[in-house]
Amino acid sequence: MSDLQESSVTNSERWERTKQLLEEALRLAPDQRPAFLDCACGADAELRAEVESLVVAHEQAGSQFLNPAAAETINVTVDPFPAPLNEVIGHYRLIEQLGHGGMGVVYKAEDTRLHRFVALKFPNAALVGRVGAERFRREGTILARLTHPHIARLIDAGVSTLGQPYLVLEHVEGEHIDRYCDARSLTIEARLRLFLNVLAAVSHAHANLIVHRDIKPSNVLVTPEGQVKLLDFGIAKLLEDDTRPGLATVLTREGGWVLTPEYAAPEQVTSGPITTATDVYSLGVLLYLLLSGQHPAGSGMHSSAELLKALVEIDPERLSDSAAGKRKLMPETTAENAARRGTTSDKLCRTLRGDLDTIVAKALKKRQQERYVSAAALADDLRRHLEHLPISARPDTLAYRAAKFARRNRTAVSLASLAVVALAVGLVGTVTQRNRAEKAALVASAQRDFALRQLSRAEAINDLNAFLLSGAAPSGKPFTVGKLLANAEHVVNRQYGETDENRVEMLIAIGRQYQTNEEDARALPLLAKAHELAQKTSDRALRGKAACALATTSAHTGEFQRAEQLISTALNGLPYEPQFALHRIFCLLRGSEVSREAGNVQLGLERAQAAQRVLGQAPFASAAVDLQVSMDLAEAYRMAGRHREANSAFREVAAKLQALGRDDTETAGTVLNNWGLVVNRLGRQLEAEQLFRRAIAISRADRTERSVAPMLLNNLARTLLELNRFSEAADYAERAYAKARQAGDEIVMNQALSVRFQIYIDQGDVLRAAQALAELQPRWKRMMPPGHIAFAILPLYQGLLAMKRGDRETAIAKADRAVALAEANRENLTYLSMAFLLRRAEVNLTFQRLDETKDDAEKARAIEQTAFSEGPSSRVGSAYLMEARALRAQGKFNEARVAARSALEHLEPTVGADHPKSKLARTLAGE
Amino acid sequence: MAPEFPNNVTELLKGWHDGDRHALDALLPLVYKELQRLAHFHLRKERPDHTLQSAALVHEAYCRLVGQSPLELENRTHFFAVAAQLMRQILVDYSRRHRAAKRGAGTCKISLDDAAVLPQRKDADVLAVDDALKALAKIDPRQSRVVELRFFAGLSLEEISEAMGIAPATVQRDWTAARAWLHREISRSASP
Repeated sequence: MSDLQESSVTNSERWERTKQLLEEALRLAPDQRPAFLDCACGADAELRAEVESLVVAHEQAGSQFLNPAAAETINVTVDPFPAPLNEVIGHYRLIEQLGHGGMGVVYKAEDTRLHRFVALKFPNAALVGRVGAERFRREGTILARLTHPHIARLIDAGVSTLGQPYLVLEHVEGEHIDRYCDARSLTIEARLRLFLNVLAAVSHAHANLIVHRDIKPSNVLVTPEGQVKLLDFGIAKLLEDDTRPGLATVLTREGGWVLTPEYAAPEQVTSGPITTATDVYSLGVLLYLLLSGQHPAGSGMHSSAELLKALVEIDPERLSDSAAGKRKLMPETTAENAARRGTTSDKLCRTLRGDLDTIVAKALKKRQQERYVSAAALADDLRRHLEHLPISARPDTLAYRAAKFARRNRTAVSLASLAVVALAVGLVGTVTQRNRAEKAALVASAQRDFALRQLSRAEAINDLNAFLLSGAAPSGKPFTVGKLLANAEHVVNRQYGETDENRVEMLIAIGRQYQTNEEDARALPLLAKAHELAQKTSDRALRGKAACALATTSAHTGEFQRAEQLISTALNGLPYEPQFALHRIFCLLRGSEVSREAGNVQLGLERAQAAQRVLGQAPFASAAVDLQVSMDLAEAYRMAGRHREANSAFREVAAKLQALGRDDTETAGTVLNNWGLVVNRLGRQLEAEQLFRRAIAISRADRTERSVAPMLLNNLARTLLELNRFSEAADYAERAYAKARQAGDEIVMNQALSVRFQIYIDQGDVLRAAQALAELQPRWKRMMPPGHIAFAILPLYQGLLAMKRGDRETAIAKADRAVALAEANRENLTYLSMAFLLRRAEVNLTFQRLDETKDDAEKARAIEQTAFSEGPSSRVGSAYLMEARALRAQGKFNEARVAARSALEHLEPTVGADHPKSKLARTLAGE
Repeated sequence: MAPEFPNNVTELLKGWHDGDRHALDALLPLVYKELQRLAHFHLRKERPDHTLQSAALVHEAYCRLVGQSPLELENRTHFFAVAAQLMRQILVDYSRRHRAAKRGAGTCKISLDDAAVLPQRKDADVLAVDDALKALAKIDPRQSRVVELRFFAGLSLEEISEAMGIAPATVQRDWTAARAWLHREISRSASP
């Protein structure tokens, strides 16, 4: 580089001029530049040439040149391991380096005790760092038990004295399977038989619940004797990040590719669950390659981005078409591929057409559920093909689709018969339960029978209703209210005879269904009609029920006084006698909902608790009623801020839902979401994340992606933010915002903006934080009533922004104001004070106000520990950490260590050992 | 592993900012040592593709040395200004040594992963950048500082503007022109 050419421009004034012209030229469209330079440079040809050459250089440089954000900026070519040959690790002596790549470095080594060769693998330190040496050893031991003639054994796993983890594997001398087959021109049948050995090895591992996750030709070797050996079983899993299952198998945050995307299954890219079907996909790619000589994504060089897109979106070309070179191949390549399989391209195409097309296509389905469940199932079909038996996989033909349609219709038919059975079984079931319940024996039989009749009627109606709404619209056409009611009435009249009582029940049942769907406008006329009809009957229980059902819709539409009036009148009208237990429970639950809706959380809780007491004394047992009470009680605890009780109540509800087989219903999704909120409040974010993800999975499975509530996405975003996973959090928050905006849900839009602001602030992205706040501020001012807590949050956010900008005075003043406002707001006192104090501590620490930091953190911790938390809480941990940092900065090292240790105890189990806060706490604790 | 003297670095930066010339003399070896340690660690073990994100290293060094008692903005930018220079020096030293070591060194054996799938990189050779930057410093010292802060310390244009006390628009213009100029010079010298 010493021969760098002297630049033509040395004069600094000329250089300034050059820079200016370059900037202006680049602002113009390329075709406008010559004219501009003609004019600007005039006769100065040298200047013009200089600017022009820089414009060219600018275009050539692209955006990546010298870009510090690009992953690979400077290529300092260094051998990763200046071969420490002859070094002894454990009792293995390194002999020669066999290779290195994204996963690490491999050496041939000698086992000095058993005098045999082994392969010693040092996984990339960046990968192992996140796993932890302990888990590495533990899982290594599990893998070591995997023995199969076609699997290269994991002999040992350990950590060297220098702290470098290593794996010791059986040393295999062999060729990659594709090269082995091609070099010997193996026929399709020979290839299939060889491949069956691969499948036998993978099946064995699957039977032991071990998934390979990285099957590709370089991991499938064939020895000179023709023995198949699979390498690296389960090692991808060993290196996976605990806190982000799935993802790390293909990508790591900073390390670039770890595994080759060429053989990855779609779910490895989209962070879906990894199962045995994941290996089936990779096996499908390998089989495709062995049979056709082509990769399913087609020939030619692919960038990683193209491969990923193809992997997730594009169905591969049919195997036989690919071998025939239908799309992209040169004729010579096609012929060559065929020759390597001892045949001609025509014959190859015919061999592959049919069964093999179908088998490979089934292995390569994008959706896991549509693939072979395991390697064994794939092997079965291949074996059947070799024996000319019909295979299990079905091609996607018209006949197949027709079969699927018939299957769908059968579901509808069986649902209809189920509903009829339920009517009968429901009654029998409750009677049996009654016999078992001892307390029932104590109740006068007349009362009991009355209550039972009520219950069975309610349950029957419920079933009927569910049937009408879910099963009776086979064409997918939405029912009109009139049609629905007409249908319902028709059924009811035929079965019960025409009485007003039954009509009222029917109207209430359908109205409640609309309420559940949050369609109160539709519920209102039905429930008003039910209420009106009920008043004319002599049935006190029914009158109460109708009034309470109507009350809920009144509360939903903001008529709190009317709602409360309906509830209390109904409760007063229901005698405290066992036969009215069912209706009293119904009214108490509706009353609880009405109170909560009106903001009286205490009364809401009392009513739910009362319902639970009534249920305990009721002369019947009903799992459905029990579930309803539990759900309302859990929600009432949550709304009343009693998070400890709410947590156990939600756990119970979830167990009941599961016992009833309703754990994938929309109700279960709602329960999981609300439970997640509670667990998050208790400061256990890792747990909360799982609950939100389950809730999202349920609403996705129910219908489409579109049916996931934006609120739910935002709840997950907030939790991810607290887990320091900013880009995921930002992604969810942005999606929540977009969906809320589309749905016109202003409240969730505000919440999403609020979460986004905090993400950007914690990320240090001051610009975007400022943008989010600028959008949020006028919205709150427009929508929120004076005195709303939002007006305490605004100064807090302004303070945080000022903190990031280094504006000490503003940051402190705003944070102080926010805390004062939060403390003045009695209603939300505890939680908000705690959160605000923690944020203010951050501001104080940033500006080295150590005593203030300590005070805030101690106060926040005291609030959290007395009012909320049970067991470890990340919020308590964060407060301790603040204290530790302040103490350390004050030179009080011992006290800092003690606080840091407490912080660690609270942080590790709740946000994970790899969370930056846990790491910092560990450092400060001196561990 | 806990950093050795976190508060010391903070103090030194403050002292330097307040005009204590000895503070800088004491600070440089501390930062240099930490950067070198980190670079060594990353190059030896961590990066699968043996490349180095210098900006990430500088930030990591910052976190390790002063992260627990965040600095005020001025001291922070001072730190990065120093660290950028040192980082450049470390990278150049590394490349020189390994270039020397490579002559006559053994060849690479089998690659476990199919390298073909990895995206093709267009890396700038660190020595080439260093040489070209030296030439640029002769024409426009300020511009070469901008590149140093951006490329070796990963500062944003706004941060550079604050660190150097020049308008953001000027930083942007300097950066654009410097990139084009460096790219041209490096391409010229690479193709004889």
